[in-house]
Amino acid sequence: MTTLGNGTDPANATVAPGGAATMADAFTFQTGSGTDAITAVTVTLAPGTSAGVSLVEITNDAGSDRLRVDQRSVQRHARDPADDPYHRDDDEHADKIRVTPKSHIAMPVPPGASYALTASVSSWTGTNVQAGSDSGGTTITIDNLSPGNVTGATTTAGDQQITVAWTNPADSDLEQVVVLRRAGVPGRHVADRRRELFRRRHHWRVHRGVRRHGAGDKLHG
Amino acid sequence: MTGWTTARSYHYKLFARDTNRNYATGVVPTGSPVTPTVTTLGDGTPVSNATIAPGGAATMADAFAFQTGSGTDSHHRHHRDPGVGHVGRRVPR
Repeated sequence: MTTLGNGTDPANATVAPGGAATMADAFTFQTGSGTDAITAVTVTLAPGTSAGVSLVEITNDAGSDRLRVDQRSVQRHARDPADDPYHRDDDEHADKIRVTPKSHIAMPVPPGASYALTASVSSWTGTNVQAGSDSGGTTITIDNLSPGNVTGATTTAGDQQITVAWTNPADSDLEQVVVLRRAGVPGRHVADRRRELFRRRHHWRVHRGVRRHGAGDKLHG
Repeated sequence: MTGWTTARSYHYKLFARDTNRNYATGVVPTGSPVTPTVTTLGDGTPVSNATIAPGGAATMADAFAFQTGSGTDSHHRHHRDPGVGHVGRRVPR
């Protein structure tokens, strides 16, 4: 018999798009006696969260050896051919599930979403009778949720200056407000998507980044 | 900041960004595009060169023009340097 169990789950964490590969779960396999050749493992992610993930891997406990996972099948990462297939014996072996968030550009466009990702082993293919389960006790939050827009934004012409004023959104993780300015070409499209923003950035002048100061920030051009 | 161009409008858009570098969809502020008020000094129609005698008549020595990008501009300071005179005036567009 081969028994699946919870390992010592890693701590909850929040990662940004483009962030590092992060451990999302720990699990163990243990046979009653002898060894079991496990040829496939199915990892299940919390519903809807795969949209924020570029890679899922199964690693050893230290993260130094890995299996490649595409959410449907597992293939041995041929780091050590002598260790193929995935043998598990009567010593308890701890393994982990590691996820890598997508890059910003690969993520859904603003306003995006925040993904509360949990991952667990839901089934596997081996030769022994199977028992046990993996609960997936770690939550990895992939923060691809845009902050709110500024409100009350106005521009006012002055004597050789333009005053831009606005009220910051209430988001606790607000870092700054980026003001883009472009010399007027009436009727030209104004980009409103992030990809457009980056693609067109060279056409705009990043006027100034302003740290959070609260309501009524003013920027004189 | 200097370098405004007379009669040129400027488009603005504001994007909030969080610590994970997520951007908001962005907002075009009310009033954008906006044209800063710039008053430009330029040459007027040149007056002819002339030679005058001591005790001669008052003679036009230069022509200049002010133009605002929009609205009006008020000049409050008067300077009188030898040979140069400025007067306070309202300048139509």
